[in-house]
Amino acid sequence: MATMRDATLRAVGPTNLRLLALLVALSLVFGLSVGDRLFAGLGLRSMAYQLPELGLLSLAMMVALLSGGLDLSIIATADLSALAVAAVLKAAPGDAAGAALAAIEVGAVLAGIGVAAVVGTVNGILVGYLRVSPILATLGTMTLVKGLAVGLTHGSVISGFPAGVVFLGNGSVLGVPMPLILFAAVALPLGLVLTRTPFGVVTALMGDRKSVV
Amino acid sequence: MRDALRRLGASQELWLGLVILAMCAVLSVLRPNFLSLQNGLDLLSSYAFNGMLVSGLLVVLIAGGIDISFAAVASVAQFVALTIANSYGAGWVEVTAIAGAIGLCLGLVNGLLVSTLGIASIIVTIATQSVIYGVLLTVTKGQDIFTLPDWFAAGLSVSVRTDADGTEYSVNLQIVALVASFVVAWLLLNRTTFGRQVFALGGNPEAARRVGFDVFRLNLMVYAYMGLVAGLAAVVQAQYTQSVSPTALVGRELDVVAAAVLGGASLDGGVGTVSGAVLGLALIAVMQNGLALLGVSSYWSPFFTGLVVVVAVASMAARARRRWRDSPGLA
Repeated sequence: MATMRDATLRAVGPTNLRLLALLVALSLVFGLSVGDRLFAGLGLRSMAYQLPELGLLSLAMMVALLSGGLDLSIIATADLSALAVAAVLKAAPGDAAGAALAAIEVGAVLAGIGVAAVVGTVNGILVGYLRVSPILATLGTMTLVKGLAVGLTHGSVISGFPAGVVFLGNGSVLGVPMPLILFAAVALPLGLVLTRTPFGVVTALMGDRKSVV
Repeated sequence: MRDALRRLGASQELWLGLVILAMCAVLSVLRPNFLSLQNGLDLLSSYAFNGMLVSGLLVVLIAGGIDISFAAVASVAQFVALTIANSYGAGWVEVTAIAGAIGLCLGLVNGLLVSTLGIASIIVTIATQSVIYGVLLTVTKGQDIFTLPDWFAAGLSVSVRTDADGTEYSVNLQIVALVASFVVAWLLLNRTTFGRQVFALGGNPEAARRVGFDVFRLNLMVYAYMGLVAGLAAVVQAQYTQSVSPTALVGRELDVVAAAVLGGASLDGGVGTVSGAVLGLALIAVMQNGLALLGVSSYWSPFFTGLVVVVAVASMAARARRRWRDSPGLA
């Protein structure tokens, strides 16, 4: 019995335990003071729609931190990526429907991911090959990418997307908010990659001490 | 001779100087008013705030740390000092003293946290920036102060030249403060024991500790100095913009860090020069001014700043690697 508890404690880790304790404490404090609103269906739903975005960005930052680096450019990259999605959608003919519309939507999302991957690759080249310190490299690309986004849009908002794209952020499947599903769809494979593949182990080792790798 | 040339070729200042000269040459051909005395004075005044902060940040960088909270510190110092001046009546001395003291105290808090928590200074100062900025926004409710005391709005300036047609050129508070901050930083780093200790601390903290330097006190002084400079720069900035806004300064951090780093200051500590920082600032100032004079929309300004930073850090890193290959162990 005791060994099983020890094994569980080890698997969870001291940091996660402390965070869990903090979460329980916060839940108690806010539960007792504003619990009727916080834990009502509406409160939980709004958290489930808002937090996965922060969660996805945290996952991105976590990988950079794990490797011993830091990525200041992720928010700017996310913004530029969203702009790429919008650009493709706005460039596509407005009367597309059915399969054509679906293809455009998938293409737009892929374009967004592609743009983000390009920025990430530039960061990787700067940090990995040129040995620029990660803070500096991503500070530069952050300014560059944000500048590109502001320069292209002049700071204006682009809105009015087809239902398929809106669904990614606002829809739900069987009552589960779509953002939460997307978060799980990224977090679970990422966890597996980081703990069960050579790539993941090397990334963590690199963060621990570069010369080991 | 060849060695001397090679050393010169490896110096960050030389490359920066050449790039700036080339930019100035192109700009003065395309836009004759670029080299006018008035544009020069305007440029100096408008970059006084950033420049003063660069001079402070340089000391922090050389000490092996970084401070991201200075814009928030400056915003608080500005707001408190001018609110007091508006409601109780205060002069230059009081406003400067209040702003400086607030900056100094917040800097001490940064130094205390950095030396006791054992967390990277970038994380600590991002946290203090959020706290300071959050409190400021709550207290001010995001409201600007537009009415400043008359003596403050009038400012301080000395006329240096009057043209035949009666146009006056003057050196104002901003320019004097900008020059003074770099002179003080230079004296501090190159002519005092404190400066030597700062270089030692940034070069190798453990060695500095073993040699017997009071690393804790040194860190406190470094961050306090940064805070003091931020507080004073805040007064200069408020006088320049003729208003105090709790939200206007935050976001300047990157321009300031970029200028210091372009000038060759290393984020690993122990490396950096005042002349490099001045040139880094000049590069950004000339580029942004040049783009404006050429009629490029100001929306594109951050893009070019980012581009310059990325190209500069990449080429600096490439040169450092070449140096390493030529003489391993000495880079």
